[in-house]
Amino acid sequence: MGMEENGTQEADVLPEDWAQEDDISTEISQEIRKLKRAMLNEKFSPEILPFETSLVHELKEVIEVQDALIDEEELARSSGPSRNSLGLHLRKIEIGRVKYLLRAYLRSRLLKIEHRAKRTLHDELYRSRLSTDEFKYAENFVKLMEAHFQSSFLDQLPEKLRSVDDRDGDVDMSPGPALNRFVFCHVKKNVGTTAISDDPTDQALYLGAGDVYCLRYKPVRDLVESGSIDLL
Amino acid sequence: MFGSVAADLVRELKNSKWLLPFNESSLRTIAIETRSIMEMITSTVSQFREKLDQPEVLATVMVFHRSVQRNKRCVLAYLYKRLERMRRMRWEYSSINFAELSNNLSMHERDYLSKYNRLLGEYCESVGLDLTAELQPPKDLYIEVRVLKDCGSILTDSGTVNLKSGTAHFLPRVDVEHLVRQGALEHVI
Repeated sequence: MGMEENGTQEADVLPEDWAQEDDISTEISQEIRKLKRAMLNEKFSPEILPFETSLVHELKEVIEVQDALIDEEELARSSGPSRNSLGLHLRKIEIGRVKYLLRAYLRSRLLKIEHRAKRTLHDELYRSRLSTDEFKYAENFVKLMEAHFQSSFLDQLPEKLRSVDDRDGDVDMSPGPALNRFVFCHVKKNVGTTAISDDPTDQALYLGAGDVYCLRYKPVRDLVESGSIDLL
Repeated sequence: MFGSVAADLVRELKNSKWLLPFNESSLRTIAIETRSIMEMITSTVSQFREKLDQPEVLATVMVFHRSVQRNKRCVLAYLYKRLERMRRMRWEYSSINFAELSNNLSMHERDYLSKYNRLLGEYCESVGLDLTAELQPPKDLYIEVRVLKDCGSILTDSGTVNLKSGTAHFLPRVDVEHLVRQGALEHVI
């Protein structure tokens, strides 16, 4: 469901004073598109991506303002004659969609954090990608889990054995994300010839704008972060 | 044989997708086994204090040590995987439908779950959105639902609605979504 489509729909049904806010609304719909991209990238990338602090903050403000406007209008409508209820209805749907996007974005991040909580906290790079709230969440999450391990089992062992180890011999007990997983990606800008595997004898690939590939995530992770390619 | 109880524990977990009753007795057996292996290590070391660099002594200690580590690792994997399943169910069935499940949880797991709920609640509050709502993208503000179980009355924007078993309603999605997820209502598509 494209945002432009809704934009034109709204212009038809909404009162004239809405049309004047065109500049703002295109800016907002651009932000919504950005959020949608961020959500999808987050959903398909094996590792956690940098938190979109300003984007989330701005859209939250927009949601708050719109919610307040809708409430006001509903209140006015319940006392006065019913007017333009379709416009109101559409706006409510749209706001619901934006909220869903925001929730889905935060949710996919949170699940990723839970899945690799300890690793995320210990890794400098991943830690810097969390928002303040997420960082707090991850910390408490790990604490909670280790407390559970202690009280359920480790307390019954001799004191020497009670710690939760990060390694067992050669095996890493909190493995990092599977960076070599295959992902589908859509190239947005011409990137040029890129090496797509660690093996130098493998052929490099030309990534042109508009191409869709299924590649390993690791060689293209920087391109995802810089926004040159999107994950699908 | 060392570690067989622990291996069975992990196998039990692997063979089921559901949360089986918490296996308290196996955990206790493993803890006892682990403690006795530890004692064997200590006695071996003190008995052969002068011959610690002999391969046969080293091998003995090594086997004991690995058995201890293996036991620990199996139990932690068991506990971890259970927590993961609990959390998944928490997300899928919302916070309420746990009466049935909680018989299968240990005291500590119930404690974990309630603390986890609080943690999640705090996070949702600080971002200002309830993340457990709307797991599917919204299509419309109103949905048609059929009542499968009596739910009493609920309050919506347009007044109270009595949800009697067998009736169908056209209601705001936000007001009935949690009931649909609990299985009390069926979403008619």
